[in-house]
Amino acid sequence: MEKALSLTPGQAAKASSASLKRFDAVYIGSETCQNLLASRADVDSLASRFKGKLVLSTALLDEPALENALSLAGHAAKKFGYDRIEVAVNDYGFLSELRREHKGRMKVSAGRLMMLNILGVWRQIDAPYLTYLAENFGVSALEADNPYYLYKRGPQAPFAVHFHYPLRLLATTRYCAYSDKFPACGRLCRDRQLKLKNPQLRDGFIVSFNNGYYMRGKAFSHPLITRTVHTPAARKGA
Amino acid sequence: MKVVIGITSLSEAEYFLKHGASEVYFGYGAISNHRASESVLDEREALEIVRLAHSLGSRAFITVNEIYGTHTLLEAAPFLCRLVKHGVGGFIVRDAAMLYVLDRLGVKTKFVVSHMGFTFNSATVEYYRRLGVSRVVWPQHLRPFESAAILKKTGPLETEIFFSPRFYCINTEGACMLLYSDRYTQAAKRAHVMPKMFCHNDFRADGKPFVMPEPSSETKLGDLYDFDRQGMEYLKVGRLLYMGGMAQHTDVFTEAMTIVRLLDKKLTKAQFVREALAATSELEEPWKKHYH
Repeated sequence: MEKALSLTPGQAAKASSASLKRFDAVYIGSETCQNLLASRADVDSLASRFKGKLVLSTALLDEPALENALSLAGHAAKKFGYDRIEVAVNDYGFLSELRREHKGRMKVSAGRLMMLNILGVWRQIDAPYLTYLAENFGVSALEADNPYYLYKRGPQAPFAVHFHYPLRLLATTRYCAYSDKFPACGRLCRDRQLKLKNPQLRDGFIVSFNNGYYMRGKAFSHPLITRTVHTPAARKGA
Repeated sequence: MKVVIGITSLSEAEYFLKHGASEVYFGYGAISNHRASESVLDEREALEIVRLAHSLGSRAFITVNEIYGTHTLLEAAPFLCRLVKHGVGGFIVRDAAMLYVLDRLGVKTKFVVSHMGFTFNSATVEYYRRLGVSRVVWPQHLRPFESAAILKKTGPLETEIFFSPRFYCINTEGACMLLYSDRYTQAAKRAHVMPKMFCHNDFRADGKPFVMPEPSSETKLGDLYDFDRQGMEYLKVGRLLYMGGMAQHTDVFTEAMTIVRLLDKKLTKAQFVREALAATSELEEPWKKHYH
């Protein structure tokens, strides 16, 4: 079982080599905000401090963000080599372009947003979708954070699952809570996690983080899980 | 710009098509779709809607806009083929695997990719085009400057967008789990206060009020103006019978028709937004809070 850490570029910049050493892989970027895509400098910096695998976390991407993500993936592949680089993809266009540019050499996983879109609540993971994604785009793993899907819905295919905790994704928006100047943002969120309290919620709150809304989840074990991915608590407060 | 409207019965189809709607679309109860409770339940009625649209020189689309398991897809295929045989305008879809399967089954019709297809860039549009899609419903969160960048790469593209002042999810629709019951307290569920639109609830963060961010009506209307000037062809009015009934539906339809007429006038963006705001102000609250 691999252990991974999920960081935004801001968090990665502050992480020491010693703290990263304990992990087999580091996720950098965001699955919910295209503005938190890592930069080339972020990748270079990690390459000098970290010997494990690098996973680029990517969100839904508009045209300029898609170009940035493609260029970043190419750069990261050169720095880390195809055996140490992976991309967590949530955008179908990006998936298709990665396949075209890297001719199937880039290891790709279907991101959590893609999983929400594919699975929803009543849908089934036996859908031909996974076979389709694997055969056409080389998707070899699923990013997941909900044990329910693993128990109740398969996957009925030998897909590796990377299980994220302790934040379970509920929804995402493209409108930032800190700035109305979408898409230019200046990263005003500064990795803050906001507890959004409401008495009707089972836990009493959900978490707002990088344009995503999350509930609390736990680490989980299942035969299909090949990697656990921890998202550290970020700065508190608005 | 023309108005496309979601319907749930033959009588609604007749009313809207005779009052200026360019096309209608419906879901079919036996095939899950994003508003399954607002679907046509009877196959005969579905086929009648298709025939009626033809007789009025229009088109009726069926929305099959979920991700389907193999079993569901194969069960639905004969009905979908019958619709094609009767001249359905096309299928509104979001499931690439479904397009793949329908292609293998030899189903030839028009495919429209739903706003839940997340077409935020030209590569995604091309991805769906390769699967036979010829019309794209832009995602609700796509802004005109982003669609302009897409169109620059794709060239001419048949596009459609939801009538955003009335049909707008503040979180990305198609990947939102805020509604589901396991998030809520037993007391909330017992008291039936689990809201349809939890995203519109009031939250508190660090002792301060917090609402999930959403663009203003001015922004949404301004965006409609820009989309129109980019050549967008269809303005989509969703199904909403379970909220306000036919009266509400016709009110919103009338609003959409007014917006289209305003877009056809040679107004500046500022003039359009001002007039459109006046035309859409009456239903603003509390209806907006409860629509999903």
